[in-house]
Amino acid sequence: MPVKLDDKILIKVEKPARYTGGELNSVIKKPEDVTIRFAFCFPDSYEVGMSHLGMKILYHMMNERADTWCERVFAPWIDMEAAMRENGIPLYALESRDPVGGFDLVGFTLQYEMSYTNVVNMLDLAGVPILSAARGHGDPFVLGGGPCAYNPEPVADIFDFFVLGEGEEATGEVLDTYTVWRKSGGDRADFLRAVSTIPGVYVPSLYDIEYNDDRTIKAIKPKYDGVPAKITKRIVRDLDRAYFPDKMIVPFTAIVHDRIMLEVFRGCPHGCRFCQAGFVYRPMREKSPERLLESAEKLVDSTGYDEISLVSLSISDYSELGDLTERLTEKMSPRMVGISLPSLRVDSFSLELMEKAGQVRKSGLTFAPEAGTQRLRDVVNKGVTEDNLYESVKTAFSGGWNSVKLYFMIGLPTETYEDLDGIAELAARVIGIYRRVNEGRRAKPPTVTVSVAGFVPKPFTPFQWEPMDSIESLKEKQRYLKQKLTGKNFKYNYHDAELSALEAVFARGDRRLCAALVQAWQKGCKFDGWTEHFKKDKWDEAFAETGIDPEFYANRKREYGEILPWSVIDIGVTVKFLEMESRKAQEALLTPDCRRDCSGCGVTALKGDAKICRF
Amino acid sequence: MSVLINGIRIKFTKEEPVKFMSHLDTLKMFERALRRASIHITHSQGFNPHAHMVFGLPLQVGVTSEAEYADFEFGERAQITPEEFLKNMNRVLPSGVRIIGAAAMSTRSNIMSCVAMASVNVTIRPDASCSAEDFHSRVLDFTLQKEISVERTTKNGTKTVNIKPMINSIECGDTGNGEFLLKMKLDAGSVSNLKPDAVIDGVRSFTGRLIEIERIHRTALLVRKADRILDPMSDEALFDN
Repeated sequence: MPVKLDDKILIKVEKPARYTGGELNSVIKKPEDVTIRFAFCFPDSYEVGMSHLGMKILYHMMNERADTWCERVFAPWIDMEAAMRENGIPLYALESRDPVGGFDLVGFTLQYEMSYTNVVNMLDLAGVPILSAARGHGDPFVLGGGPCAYNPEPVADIFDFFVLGEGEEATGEVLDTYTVWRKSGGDRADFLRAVSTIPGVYVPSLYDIEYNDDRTIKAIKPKYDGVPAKITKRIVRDLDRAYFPDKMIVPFTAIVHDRIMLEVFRGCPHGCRFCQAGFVYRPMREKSPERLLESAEKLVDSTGYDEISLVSLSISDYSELGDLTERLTEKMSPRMVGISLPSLRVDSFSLELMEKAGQVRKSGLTFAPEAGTQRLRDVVNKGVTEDNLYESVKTAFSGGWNSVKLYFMIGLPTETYEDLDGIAELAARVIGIYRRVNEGRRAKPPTVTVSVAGFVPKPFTPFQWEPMDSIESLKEKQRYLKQKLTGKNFKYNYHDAELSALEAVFARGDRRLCAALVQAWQKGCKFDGWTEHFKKDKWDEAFAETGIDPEFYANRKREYGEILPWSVIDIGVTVKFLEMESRKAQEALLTPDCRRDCSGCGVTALKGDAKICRF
Repeated sequence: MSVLINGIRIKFTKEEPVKFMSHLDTLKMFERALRRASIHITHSQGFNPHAHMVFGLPLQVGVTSEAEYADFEFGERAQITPEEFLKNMNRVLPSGVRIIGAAAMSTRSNIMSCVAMASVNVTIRPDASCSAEDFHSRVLDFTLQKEISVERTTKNGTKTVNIKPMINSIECGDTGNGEFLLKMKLDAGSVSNLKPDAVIDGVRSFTGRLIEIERIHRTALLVRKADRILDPMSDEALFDN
């Protein structure tokens, strides 16, 4: 039975259109026509979740199946949640408004560690037992996917299973397995055993974890024969042939990325050593311009959006970018549709591209030198030299831009205060370049925004063994930079070090953290990623009460041989390669990008075909 | 507003499923619908070209309507008839938005600039302590006051305003299921504007009762042209002589 949403509630909450559904291209089916009800949950607000491409793909893909109705669920904002609890309204899916507790499968996408309390909160609001072990007959199965699922251990007690890697193929296999299981009349344990045999599926309750006296992991052992010792992530081999929706839901209220998202390629040829996406999404696979043009046209027809954003990890690396942008612009400008190129590396070629694509708003450009000195940029394998950067900045200023944003990380391995000085010097030189470019002209004053994030070591990167910098040290570095960047042309902003530290705990945590997570949620923690809702003191209490030492996870240097919580998972890239990269980092040695030279990361072993890498 | 607009004026509904869509989002929604229907209207020049369309009186969030209006400009020549416009747009509009009238127009006064009055039905949650007859007679007393003073909050704080001149009529009705209904015709637009909520505030303080609005539904919008009050779809409103 659908929940009843009284206008009295909706009129009082912020942006009620987030809770009513009915958007263009949302899929409505009759409950009696389907056998599987799937709740696709995004553990953050509607605006954030509706901007997520993966959800769009899997939503429409699942709804192509006659036997399945996939619906959307987002975390209600604080005011709506309070109203729901007060009026006894359980968490419901937007399409049918049916309570999520009655669904067959409840899937969460895990994009960010700081959304874990929202997962717990949403399950509670749905009336679904929070812990997997407490769920019984009639309860939905709770599954997870997305980048954080590559280390699923901190939420292992909450989820029944995880799907690792790209979901286009594995999702259908899970649905098929569910159908077979239900017809067989088996119990929950039977389904979990069955689903654990699907490649890429990890069922955490089927593994025993043993610990050493020093709290590190001694062994991760499958409980039964036939339960895989390693779970290899799934990838789609040919993106041109992979499912991509020709419809996307057009919301009634503004969302973060309110435009067509056209996925151009997956993976990234660079191996920046801090970047998890750069390793877990390997290998790099491109779509053809033809396929992209076809998708773009259909999506404009079905949505009416006025902007297409070319989505990838670094669009400049698309081998046919010039051709694609030109043909897209030619097709789209008569329809008043703009093309946007986020993550574009700034050089003369790209500026020309942006002009052509009609991106003539000269408001701001973002550069990501990541570190202040060449030495440290080499440590992180950011293949950018100071000259590259100054050249790009000069090009941008000559092209009429007057404001740039420089993105850096602090707390990187081997960092010294010299590297921090480098950040300030680099920012000052950028202003110098602006002055020289505009010499003798009456130019607007430049703005250089220096944005600084605390480095958080992530699983499956060469820095996965590294300690995170302490909160005190990060704060000291933030202060140091602040007093160095006082000029009126500078803007300086930095991330909350305490929030980064919590992210670091969960990024590399193990399943002993589950208790702390639930405890923190019970103390009122949710929307932790939203600074105004982050309750540091509650988290400290939760850790203390559950006997968790956060520094063990965030600030401890691991030995290469240590069994890491995520070592049950195989992303294709070998541990040996990551270790080699880690050693090279200590020596500030570069590794070339995949197109120049194959460094043998191991990902070619996925599907046993060396040709899987394009380059 | 001295330029002659050649275009199409539409009358459309905004029903239950979309009543929480804001005015700005409604504009955006129409712009996207035009693109889905492959209808080209003129656009402004500049970095952020926007479609030349003008909407009547913004509808409050949470309010439904059977009388919304918008003007679409086609420049020199319209490549589409009003009938085709209605048919093609209704095919791509989300459910809850329906065009129920379309007419060619050529006037210097767009819909937004000439709105004069709006008629709304305000449904009041029934109150066990008050019969319908009783309620009706109290409302009649309310309307017969010499002056109807309500507190209005503006940018510069609250002030007491006499809203009587802005109320063109108030009638009591019945929805058939026991709810009280107030049909009001109020001043609307840039010259003089009165929101139904302000009237209900007045009734509330006059009767001393806790009156709760169940829903508000706009039934008509009227325009003023040379001191005549007109239906926006009338020839007089659509064409300058």
